[in-house]
Amino acid sequence: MLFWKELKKIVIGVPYFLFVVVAVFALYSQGALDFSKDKITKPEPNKDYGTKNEEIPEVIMPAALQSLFAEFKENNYKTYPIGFFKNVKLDKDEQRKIAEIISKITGNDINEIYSLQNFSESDGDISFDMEINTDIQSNKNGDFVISADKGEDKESLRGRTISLSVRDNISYSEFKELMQRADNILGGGSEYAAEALISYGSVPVSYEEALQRYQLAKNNDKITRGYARLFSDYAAVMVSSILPVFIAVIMSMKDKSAKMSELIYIRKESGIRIVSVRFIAIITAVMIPLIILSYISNISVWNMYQGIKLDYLAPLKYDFGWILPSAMIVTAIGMCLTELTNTPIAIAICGLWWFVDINLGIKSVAASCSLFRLSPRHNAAGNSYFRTQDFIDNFPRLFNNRLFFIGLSILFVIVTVIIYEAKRKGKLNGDNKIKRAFASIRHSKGEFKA
Amino acid sequence: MNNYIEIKNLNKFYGSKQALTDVNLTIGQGMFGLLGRNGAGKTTLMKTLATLLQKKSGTVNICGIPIEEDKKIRRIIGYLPQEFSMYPSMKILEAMDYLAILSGLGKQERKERIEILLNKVNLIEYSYKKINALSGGMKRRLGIAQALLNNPKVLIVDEPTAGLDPEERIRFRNLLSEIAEERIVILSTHIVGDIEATCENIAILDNGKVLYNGTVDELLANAAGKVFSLITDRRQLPILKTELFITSMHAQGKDVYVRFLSENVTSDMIACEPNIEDAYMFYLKKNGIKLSSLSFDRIGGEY
Repeated sequence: MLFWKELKKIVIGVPYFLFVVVAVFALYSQGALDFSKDKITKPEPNKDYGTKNEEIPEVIMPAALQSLFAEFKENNYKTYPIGFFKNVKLDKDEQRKIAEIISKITGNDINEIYSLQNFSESDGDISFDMEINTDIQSNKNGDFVISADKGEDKESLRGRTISLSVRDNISYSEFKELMQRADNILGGGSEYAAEALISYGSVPVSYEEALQRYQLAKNNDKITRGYARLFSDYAAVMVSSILPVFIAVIMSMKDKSAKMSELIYIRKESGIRIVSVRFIAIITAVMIPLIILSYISNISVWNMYQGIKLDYLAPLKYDFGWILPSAMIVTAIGMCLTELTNTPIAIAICGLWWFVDINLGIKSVAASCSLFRLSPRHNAAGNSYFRTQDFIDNFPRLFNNRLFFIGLSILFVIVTVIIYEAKRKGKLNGDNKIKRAFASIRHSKGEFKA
Repeated sequence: MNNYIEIKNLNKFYGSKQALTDVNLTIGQGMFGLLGRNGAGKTTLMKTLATLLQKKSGTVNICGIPIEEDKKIRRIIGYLPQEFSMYPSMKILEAMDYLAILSGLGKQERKERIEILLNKVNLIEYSYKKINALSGGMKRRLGIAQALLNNPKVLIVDEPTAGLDPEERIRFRNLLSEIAEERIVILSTHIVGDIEATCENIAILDNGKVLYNGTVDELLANAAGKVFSLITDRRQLPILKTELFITSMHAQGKDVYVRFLSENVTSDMIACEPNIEDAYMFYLKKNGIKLSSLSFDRIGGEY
């Protein structure tokens, strides 16, 4: 009975209405409520089946070298240290170290590397275009070639072509080590890091593989699981990993603002029941619209696969397995920090966590569902046949991630119960201290302005 | 299970500040008034009895149950806090039902109990009115109703009449007196009139210490022969204020009626029967409490 009362308290409020509106808008804007344009069909021979990333040294090494040289030449490196883009410029010594790495990879003399770097700086009328098929070109052996513009009148450079290629006697492990060294010089977060090099391993998907992917999507995913996974990817990122914290904070502050805290504290009901029922009520309120939306999304494709056995419970399975743990952890943190501080600080903390998490993006399938990912990623649509095999391969990681967050949520709920019981007995005055700290910050700001 | 509250050597600190000092009280069935100025420690004592604050030392037994057994205590107490409110968007019936569930009442029991209580506090016809639409008096009556949900043996009511108009105040006092027939009711207030109208036994608290513990009659007897009045030209008022301890005054045409405390009698003074306000002020004065903060700047009205 208490559960229904708590649920009603949540769903009749304006914050909940806004939650539903934002959730619907966010998912609608990403096309996650209607996948009918994303139909998968049995592949036919001699078509383009897209590309995939694989750890094929012969593909990765020249592509990564080309990228490193291009960035070295401009002294303009792209990195993502904590998920955010960072433009790195190196000093002379560091540039030299990069030049040495390129030299070790190619076998070219370091001065030659430097001369190429200075090529355009000293000769304004000679330029290098870094795009493949223009001035820097990959040849059939996987090397790439840098050539001066033959139309220019610089005698010393006329017709000169320098080939930069990965030397034959370098092993992949040595290459990875050198690239990792480059990543370290750049401060980390570049695509030269050993585990990120796979992003250079872009190869076309073969017909046989496309066919196998289709069969997996059909037999293993029963089609609908793939769409449910795609919906879950959007729903976890845009809804369940951030929006529930607002509900949790507002509901947790409601007792205080309505002067109800003491009226509830002196009741017979235990703190463990009050807190856990409230937690479950918030989760239920959050999940109901998401379950409905997941079915709206999934139903949009059901009539496209007549004759194929579909899993009609797929949305529900993914709602609970994928979306729920994210909602649980932000709700639990929201309740816990609000109970502790009587402030909405949990919104800032969860907001920051969410922001960093979404900016981590999808570097690799493995990284997308690593243990600490708040929103696991597997944004694979119908055109990639949902990359079912990748999902199967990484399922244990995802399972551990989701289980970890469920466990962590329960831990936060237990801590919330302890805080609640302590406050109930007038033991904990930490909230006052924290509030005073906030008040003093506001006060000092006011003085500063004055 | 006995039917009284026993407080022995109760001490309570907020950090280094002592809020209650060696409080000793025995409170029996009926209305018990806790009188004191703002900041005297009344709310701290009430909250300690309601298990909302923890004592530093001393013993408190409520109907034979040590205060440390908070779960048991919560079953037998009702509490109306000083700043009472409920979820503003809830209707009276919803709010009562919510708190009744938290009090552990079953469905049928809740229905019956809420109906009885709302009848008792004359709010049954407003059952579907939202909390934010209630007047101050209605809110206080609802406060009493919610505090009685679990049919408590002890009802703790903190400053319930502050801000109420005279009619609502009288109504509320009568309601408390009625409720106190079958349980212990502790009424905390700084409004002396509330105590006079409802309580037989009282304690005066000041600066966390019990200054007086006894009956209202005994308190009044203490002030007998010490209360006087006179009628004087209002131009004399500033001088009188410095010489006398005025407890009340009001205008009478060009003159002023002044009621005051005095140990000495002069010919122009008229001896008065002390009321509890006089007695309370006399007791504070007698115990050396600095009353300079009390202000009687207005002529007429009631302090």
